[in-house]
Amino acid sequence: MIETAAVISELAVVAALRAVTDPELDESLVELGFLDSVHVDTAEACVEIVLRLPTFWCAPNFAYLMAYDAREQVLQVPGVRRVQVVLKDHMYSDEISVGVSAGQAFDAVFPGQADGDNLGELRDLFHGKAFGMRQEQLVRFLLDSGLTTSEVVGLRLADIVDTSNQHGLRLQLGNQALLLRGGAPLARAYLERRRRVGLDQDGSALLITDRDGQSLAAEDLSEYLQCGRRQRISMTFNALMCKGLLDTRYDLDLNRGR
Amino acid sequence: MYRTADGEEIFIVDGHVHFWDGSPGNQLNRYAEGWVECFYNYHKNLSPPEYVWPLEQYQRYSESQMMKDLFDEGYVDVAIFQPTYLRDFFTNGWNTTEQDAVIKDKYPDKFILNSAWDPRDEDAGLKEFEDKVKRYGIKGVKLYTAEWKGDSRGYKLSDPWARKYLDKCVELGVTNIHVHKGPTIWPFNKDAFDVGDVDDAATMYRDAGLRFIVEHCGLPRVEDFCWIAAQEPNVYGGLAVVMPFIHASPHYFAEVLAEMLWWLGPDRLLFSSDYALWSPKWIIDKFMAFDFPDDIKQKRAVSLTLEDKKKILGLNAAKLYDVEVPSKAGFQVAVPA
Repeated sequence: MIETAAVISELAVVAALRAVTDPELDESLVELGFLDSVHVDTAEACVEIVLRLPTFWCAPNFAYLMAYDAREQVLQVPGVRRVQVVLKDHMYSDEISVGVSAGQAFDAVFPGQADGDNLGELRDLFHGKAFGMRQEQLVRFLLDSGLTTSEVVGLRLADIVDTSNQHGLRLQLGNQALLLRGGAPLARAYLERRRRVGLDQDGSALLITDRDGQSLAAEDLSEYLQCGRRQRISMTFNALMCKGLLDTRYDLDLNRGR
Repeated sequence: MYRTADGEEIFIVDGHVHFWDGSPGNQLNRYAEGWVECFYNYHKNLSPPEYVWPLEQYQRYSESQMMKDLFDEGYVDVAIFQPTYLRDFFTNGWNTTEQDAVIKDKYPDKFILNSAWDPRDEDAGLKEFEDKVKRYGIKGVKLYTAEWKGDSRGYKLSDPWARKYLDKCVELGVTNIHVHKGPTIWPFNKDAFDVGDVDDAATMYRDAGLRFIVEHCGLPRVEDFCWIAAQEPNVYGGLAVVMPFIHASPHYFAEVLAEMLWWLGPDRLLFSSDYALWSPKWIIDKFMAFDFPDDIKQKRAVSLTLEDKKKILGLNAAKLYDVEVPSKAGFQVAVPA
């Protein structure tokens, strides 16, 4: 019997990579312009992805996380058996490219440079920051839309009725049905991150909690939000800096609206 | 000196300038090349186009260029040299105390000469540091915690040897500790920009009189920096890297500044251009013309008065370094506790 190789779609590869975020920026590496190129070799069931970063010095741990996640995602694409990741123009280009392509753990590639827990703790830390930032944006939106702090902290998951309505976010507040213009993308972004940090997905679970799922008191909300705002300011700094430097480094014109 | 349209004089201290040598002849390896390339992209990315230099000029600019950019055109009255050694990358170092001292000798009133130390130099470095302080009358140091040294990829202020150096600073009256957090610090698997060690040091050395100026306000970890600065009255924010956003992303700049004013107030922020990363003239022009946009004024209840601008642009740093301010340009600044 002759085994025919499945055709690997380059579009499917790029689509898979959209799910990979830069943990410091909380944005997809495709959107960020970090994906330099994709090469598909259907006969070998192999995909090569070339990544590029804003600077030669970008922190190797974050670079590793992204490159590693990129490989994992592309391995899910139908027909792909092997993924070669190339990180170009980086101080650890060789180490990271070889290590990630072989599926090695970070501390195996940089022996003696990591202490213990591989990169799990770092990943959690930044998932938590992204959670705080997305939550802050959603909560501010809800408050600006006229909800009170008590109403916001009392919302349940099931009260979010629809996040894909183009007219706005559909919300159930007691026996009142609301349509809040412009809030759907914020709610989608928050719910996605809320799921990723592993919070309770039951409809009765509180929507707005701290990242461990603990409820918040209405009177503490404003102080709690300050923390989210600072995280957003940091992430925005990173995003502006990284996008600008990437554009400058590779002479890109990505029209990012700066 | 900057003069407003009303003829008011504003005394300018540029808190962070360099006179570096990144020319190919001084580059030891590909890391040096990567360093210069990265710096150059920072410069190109955030400067207005008319201020962007060719790479060759950026690698090694002349003394006369620097004097013109800082003092003739850039309004600066006094500039603080912040050395960064990088001897693992550059044969003669990137920008050392000794190199800066040559310029300081020629223009003693225009520059304040800071030095640097590295806890990994242990005893020998401690002795060398003491000699430099005595030779040059040093009052401040710049610490670049992500500097590579042999196999080491950085250090923390909480390291035992760093404590000995901080003790030495107290002993010698070197009271201004500028901390520059860069990436790639050991261990690699932790957050490279973590500023927690500054918190510990600031608490420990508060009563001894050390002040910690955290360069670029702890960005990209402003959330941690603000928290620390709110607790520790001897922590300051250096506005290097933050200031140039006033051109590229003015609304974002406003948001950061609002956050800084909320947590630190106008007495603990220091202007710096980080020359030759950026040139002070355009930053100061834009900062003097700056006011918070309405949405931020409304939401954050912040303001930025002319007096606040004076403090940030010069008076705060003048106080830290005992620089005499001409009476017309100054006013009584409250000393932060």
